[in-house]
Amino acid sequence: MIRKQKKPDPALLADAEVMKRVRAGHTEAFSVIILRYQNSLLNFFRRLGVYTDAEDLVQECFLRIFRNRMNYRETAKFTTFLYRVGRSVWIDWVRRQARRSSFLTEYEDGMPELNEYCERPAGSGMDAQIALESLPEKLRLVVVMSIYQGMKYAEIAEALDIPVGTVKSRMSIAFDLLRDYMYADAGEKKV
Amino acid sequence: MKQPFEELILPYVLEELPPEKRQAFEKEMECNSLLRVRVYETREMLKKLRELPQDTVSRDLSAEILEAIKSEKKQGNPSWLPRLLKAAACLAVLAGAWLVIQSMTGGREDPAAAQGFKWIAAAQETSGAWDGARWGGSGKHTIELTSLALLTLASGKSAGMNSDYDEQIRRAAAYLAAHQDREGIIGEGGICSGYGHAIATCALLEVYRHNPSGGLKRVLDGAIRHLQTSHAASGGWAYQTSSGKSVHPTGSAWALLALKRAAAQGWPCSGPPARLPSQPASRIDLYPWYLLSTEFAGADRSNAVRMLELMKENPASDGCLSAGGQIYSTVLATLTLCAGNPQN
Repeated sequence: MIRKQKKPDPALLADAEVMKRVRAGHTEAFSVIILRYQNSLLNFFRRLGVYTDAEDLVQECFLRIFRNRMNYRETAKFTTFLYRVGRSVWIDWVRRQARRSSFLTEYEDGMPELNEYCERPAGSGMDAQIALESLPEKLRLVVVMSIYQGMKYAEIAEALDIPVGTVKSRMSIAFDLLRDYMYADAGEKKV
Repeated sequence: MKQPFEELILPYVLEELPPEKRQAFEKEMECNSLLRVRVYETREMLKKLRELPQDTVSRDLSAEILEAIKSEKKQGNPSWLPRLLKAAACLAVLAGAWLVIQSMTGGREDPAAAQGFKWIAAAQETSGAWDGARWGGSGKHTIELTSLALLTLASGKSAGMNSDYDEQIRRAAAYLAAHQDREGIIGEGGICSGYGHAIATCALLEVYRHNPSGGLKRVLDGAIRHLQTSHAASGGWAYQTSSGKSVHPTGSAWALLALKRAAAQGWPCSGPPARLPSQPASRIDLYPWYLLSTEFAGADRSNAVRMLELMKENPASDGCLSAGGQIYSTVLATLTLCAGNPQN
């Protein structure tokens, strides 16, 4: 008796296997990837200082991943690919914000500054978020990838297309700045 | 100056050191109290950084993303826009626009228009945009919906019908300005990017009438330049900025309206761009184009009135209208009628 081999549930497959199916035309399988990473991508953007638009960026990121699905190599860790795209989406957003900010400055000098992009949700750990946002973008990116996304230096280097030594030095500079920021902040509070 | 081993503290805490270096580092720690303190401090700092709350998406995004993927696959299908126009958001926003413009043509204050302004203002996102997805529609037409909503609020202000929505106008204008690329195109490069750009230009021109700021002028310079240079040789404008020669009647209507208004506001827009695609007006959504062409040729308002009557008599004759486009088309046509209104 010939037994039909049951197709494995995509939700149980590794990222690379799911992407293989997506590349083969099984678009629905992509939902597994979305469900798996939508929250971690959301937090990736939040840590980088995106609030109101974070979910939009998550959507944009997945759309770009799908469009570029043929460029994903199974030899690479999927999260490296994911955050490489995430970084690109974030950079585009930062540029848009810069244009927006420049526009608003000239639009009406007398009006109060809009702060919706700076509206942070209330809650614990906001000092840390403020400290993070005080970092230059390049430094913030490596810190977020390492601390919050749990990526190793080598993975960050691959995602950002920079040498591992650069990741290491950026992390070192970032932590010096964070330490200064947090220490100074604590000092001010004491006063 | 940094102490020896200090540069290894962070890689050590993050477990990035290879085994042999790790061993050497731990050996050093045993006899170096300062190093132990620094490791402790770094761990505390990491702990504090990691205390940040973990957010979750407000809804499962997979369905929306898969829908967007499917829509992208269908790009080029001419029936795409009508389906999307079924969105309740479009209807709601356009209803507001219709109310405003209707009242503008009457030249009197209209409580219904005031309700329209109020609803539109309340539906604005904090980003300054109007998001169709939040109102039962598609989230892929943010530029178009934002432009239409902005045009409505700004037109109301120009007509002296509202004065309470400066903040909404400013945020919407800033949203559109932020989505302008180096070529002057306002949009996100979607299938109706040409169409959206033209409406956005119209809306920003309306804002510029009562707020001629330098930033806005620069955005409009680029937007208008793009309209002038993207005019197809055969006449008209494309629905999608990258689609080249394939002109679209309604998109062309908006582009013409934008150029007409730009010329009236001092931009050098006279000349060749007034050429239109020579397509028969077999569909209702061609009428705005037809209307505008007659307006450019000498403003035969009787044609415009006739178009409105036709739309009222036969709302289902076109995909746009059956999808809720009757309001859309009414707005478009009424805007054309308003164009010659001294009040506007």
